[in-house]
Amino acid sequence: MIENLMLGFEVAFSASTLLYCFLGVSIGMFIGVLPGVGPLAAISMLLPLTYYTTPTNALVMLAGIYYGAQYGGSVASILLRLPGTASSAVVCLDGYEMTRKGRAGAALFLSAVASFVGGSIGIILMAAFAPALAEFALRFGSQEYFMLMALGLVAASTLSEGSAVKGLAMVIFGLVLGIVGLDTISGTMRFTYGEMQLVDGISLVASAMGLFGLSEILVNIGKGERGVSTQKVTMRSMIPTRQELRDCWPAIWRGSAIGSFFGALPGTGSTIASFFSYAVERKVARNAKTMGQGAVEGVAGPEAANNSAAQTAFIPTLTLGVPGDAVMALMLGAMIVHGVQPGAAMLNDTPEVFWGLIASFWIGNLILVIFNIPLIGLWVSLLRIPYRWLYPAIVVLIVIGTYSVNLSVFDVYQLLAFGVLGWLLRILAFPTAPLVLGIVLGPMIEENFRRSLMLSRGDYMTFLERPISLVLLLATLAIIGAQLVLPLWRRWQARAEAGA
Amino acid sequence: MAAEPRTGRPQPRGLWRILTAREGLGAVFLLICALIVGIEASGLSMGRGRMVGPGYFPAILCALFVLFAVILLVQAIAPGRVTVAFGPLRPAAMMIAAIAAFCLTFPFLGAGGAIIILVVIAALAESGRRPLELLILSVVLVALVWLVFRIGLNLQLPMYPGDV
Repeated sequence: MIENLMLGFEVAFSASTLLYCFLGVSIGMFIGVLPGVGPLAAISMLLPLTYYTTPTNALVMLAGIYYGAQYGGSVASILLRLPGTASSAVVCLDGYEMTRKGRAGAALFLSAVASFVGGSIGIILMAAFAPALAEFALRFGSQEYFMLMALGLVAASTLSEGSAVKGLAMVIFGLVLGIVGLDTISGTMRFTYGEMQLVDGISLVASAMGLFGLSEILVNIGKGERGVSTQKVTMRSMIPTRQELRDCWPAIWRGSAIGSFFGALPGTGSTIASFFSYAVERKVARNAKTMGQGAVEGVAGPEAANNSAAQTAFIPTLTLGVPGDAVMALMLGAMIVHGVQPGAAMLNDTPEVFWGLIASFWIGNLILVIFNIPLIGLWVSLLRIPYRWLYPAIVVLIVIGTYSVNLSVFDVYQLLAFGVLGWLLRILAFPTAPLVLGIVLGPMIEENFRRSLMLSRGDYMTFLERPISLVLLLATLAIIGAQLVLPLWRRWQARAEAGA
Repeated sequence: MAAEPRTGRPQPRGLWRILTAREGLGAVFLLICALIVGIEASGLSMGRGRMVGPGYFPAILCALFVLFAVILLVQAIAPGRVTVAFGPLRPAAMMIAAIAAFCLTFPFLGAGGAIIILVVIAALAESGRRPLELLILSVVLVALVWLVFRIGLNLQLPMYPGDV
């Protein structure tokens, strides 16, 4: 492992990689700090910028954008109570209370430190476990991959917020969009309706930007100015008191452990990790009684959980090629665009990409702490730009960014279509994140499904006869079963309570 | 998207009751998807057991759409339904029109002119913009795009008619 990490650091410490890492972290933070814009929207908007460099640099930059946006989202949560994503929503609770008490600087600093520690622990676990998992994955055939993807899709769409049925429906919709274009097995065109530009399928950048960037604006435009009043955050105000430091360390360790565990599971990821960590802190933290009123544990624990989960989420994505959530799906899509095929073979064939990525993850976290904490004041001033100035700028960048990938106006039309679709889906309360997961996994899951059936001569029993496939199938059924049983059980319990 | 009030206007009935419910409209949306996928799948070869054709997987997806639509329909009829609320439509419509105008004018005007058109139409989404403000915004954005994409990324982005 040490030897591999050395190889990684050799790659990551090249001047150009460091530059891209720094650029990614800074731009990610710049976009992520905008209210309501989370990592998913930030990565979607910035995806085109990474298309002009080598695969390693592109992935390093993307990972940097991811952390930067995640941290930027926390800044908006703490200062304005405007979380960019569900995973940073928890940080609002105590973070914003700290801001109201005049401890905004300390909250921002501690959340950065907690993120760094959580992220570092996640990276160490990833370096330790990824090779073993990749080794195990060599035993996987088409049946196992199909079942694994099915498990990931079901878990990701039902465990996230909102209705499980709607989440599953969006996965199906995503799978349909994913198989648009040329069917590589039979050479048939599907869903192209004679449009030659759809032969290669729909554009990942256009769909992601439309669903997460443009639809966000369509939903928010016309709702008037949001109350933006921010404190000045000086370097001096960021220094935490000794008591705050002492209180938050145990929370950081607990959060990191919780986050690392949930991040590596398919479908759970950083949102559930941060909520779980907050729930744990409410029980065990030294300031448990003041949780929700500005307790440091309520900031440090979930932030550590959030970031360690963000790291360990890369384990299934990189070793199995199966992403656990929409952000990872975008990462996977970007890797494929750059000709990097994640999976067990990646560790053997291109170890420099894999280990370089791991090393640069850590460097990205470090850059975030060292360079960007002093710049927090600058990012905060961004929040003072009125929304009416901001949204035309964002729309122009989204439109030109989409055009730039293939120099194609057709892609901009796709962007518009997906923007309207995302807007409509939000009104109908359908979650949009599972859609992207489906779009990325669509071609892969279908290919493995068809290959499995070809190998078994059309016999569905093949999914039951292989032990790993059977276990994955049972896990998937257990998740679906739990979704069916839980509401009934809750209703029964409520009725029992009402009767008592 | 508030829960339906118990008093006040009479409750909508029949088909209209389903269509104004968020879940009901969602079910209709899924059924439209099922129809589109079903029509496409029916034109493709299903293949046989050994050789799964290109229509097989879409056919399964079509069936799943119908299944989820039925579940949503049941939820739409069940008590405690949520009525659908679109919010202000004009601003969103203006934004959509602005991007459509960009797509239509870009091949003739290049990025510079198309961006100005986009910004002006998008600004109509909200009232109370001064022309000077729009002018400054347009110029700044065109300059920004030129700097980032043309100079920074060295992209073949035509900025004005006949450019590149």
